[in-house]
Amino acid sequence: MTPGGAPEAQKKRSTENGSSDAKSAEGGPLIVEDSVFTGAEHDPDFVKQIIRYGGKDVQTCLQCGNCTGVCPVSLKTPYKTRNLIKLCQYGYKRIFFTIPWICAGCHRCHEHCPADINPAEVFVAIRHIEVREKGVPRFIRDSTALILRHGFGAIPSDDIKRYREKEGMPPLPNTLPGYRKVLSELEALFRKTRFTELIGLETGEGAAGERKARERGGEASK
Amino acid sequence: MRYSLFVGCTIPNRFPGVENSTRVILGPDHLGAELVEINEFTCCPALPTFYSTDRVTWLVTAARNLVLVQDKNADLVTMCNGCFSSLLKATEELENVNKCNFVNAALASVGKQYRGRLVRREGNRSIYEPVRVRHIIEALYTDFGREGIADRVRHPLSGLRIAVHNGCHFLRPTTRTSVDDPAKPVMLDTMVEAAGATSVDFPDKQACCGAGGGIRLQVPKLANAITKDKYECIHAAGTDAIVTGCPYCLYQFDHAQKDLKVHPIPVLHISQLLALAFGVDAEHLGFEWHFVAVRPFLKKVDAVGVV
Ligand code: SF4
Ligand code: SF4
Repeated sequence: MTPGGAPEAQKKRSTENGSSDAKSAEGGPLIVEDSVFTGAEHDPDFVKQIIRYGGKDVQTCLQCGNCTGVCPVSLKTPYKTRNLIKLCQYGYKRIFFTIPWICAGCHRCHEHCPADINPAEVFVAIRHIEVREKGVPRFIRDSTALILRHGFGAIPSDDIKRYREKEGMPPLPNTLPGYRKVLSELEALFRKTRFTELIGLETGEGAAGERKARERGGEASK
Repeated sequence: MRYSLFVGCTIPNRFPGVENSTRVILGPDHLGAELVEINEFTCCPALPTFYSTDRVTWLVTAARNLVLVQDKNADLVTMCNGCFSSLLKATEELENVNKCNFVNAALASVGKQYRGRLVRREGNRSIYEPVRVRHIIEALYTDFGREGIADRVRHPLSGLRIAVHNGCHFLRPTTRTSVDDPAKPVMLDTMVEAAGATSVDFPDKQACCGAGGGIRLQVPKLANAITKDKYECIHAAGTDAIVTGCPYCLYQFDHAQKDLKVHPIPVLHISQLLALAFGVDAEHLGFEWHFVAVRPFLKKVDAVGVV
């Protein structure tokens, strides 16, 4: 009803981008202020678990909303940082397992948080819990598999190799024969920390495994 | 100046020109820094993949990279905000004695130990400090400064309007440290101005590119929606190019523009921009791997240059 002033237009733009993108992006339930959750999603230990995996005590959050106000993801999706922290306070753990990992880790929220919560680190803790209780997202398994196999998260194309030669750049470390030792160190460390087990990385598959990782690789191997 | 370049995953595989430009501008023909080559680095490792799933594996893997530099009497220099954030954060966590001991117990299985860099001896005590992890923008700004860079400029980019994009992990690499003022950063703008170009102002200048934390990998539409707002501000300000210090932000601005089908604005890494200003021929700088054609920008560079 108000004539379309600048703030109105701005608001409209964010909402349009926001809801349509978030829905089409993952199609899950939208988390909004007045959603009702049942006891089924509830876990009374969630707050403690978050602390165990390195997050702050979410019960000290003041629900001021500063984090939502500065968060690039909150601006574009129904996932508002303050609401997510509230869900943590209430112990609604399983809801998080349906949300994609879309915190940019930009730490803007922390910069503006009067209670020193650092929501980004809370979400890191929740990802730790999800990986252990629900499973590992595919993009994580694919990119860690590439790193285990090549030391780096991507493989250079032939034209990039030619460019390096032409420009007289030193060869990429993982194309040198000595790099095998590095890969075996990496594998030993991943076994030591039980990361191989956690992520479900099969090792020692040779070329066939490499091809599989490439086929599955999506953006990570492009 | 002794630097060990940590090139990471994205640069050598997507934008090899960024690595080459950095080597050229730091090399003997220009800034004359000494580069210490290390051939045993791995992925930094990436925060969204490792830090999100297992903090211990993240720290052990990062520490292994840091060990390789600790005895080289060189600063580790990255050209990527992601590597910068991951490795700097690791040096901070390793200052905690318990964590460091724990990590060293794991590293012992591959014959390594993280101590940090030896600064001096007091009697028979050795004093160590954390390995110095630095970002190329900060290294150029602090070690050479505006004058030092401007001195090397043979082809001033006068009249060209540049939108700088610092990127979140350059501004807030860790919760403890910032190298530039996150609210009003100056380093990248200063480097652009040292090249003779104008760094333009636009609303919400420090906004996120949208790609970080695995968003680009998982929900590219969301990444692009975030980029779109920033792109619109940059476009409205009238700019000839976007310049960043991060290959992933570069990738995002480059790709998003293609996906969004908007009026294309070329995207360059600061090392590439400085190489052009130092008079390096553009054919060496790997622009063929950029999605938005850089040629229109290069034409303007040729037109303004006073050689
Ligand atoms: S800024 Fe901090 S205190 Fe305020 S709602 Fe967000 S997490 Fe809670
Ligand atoms: S760190 Fe995550 S939650 Fe915090 S402002 Fe950035 S995207 Fe939002």
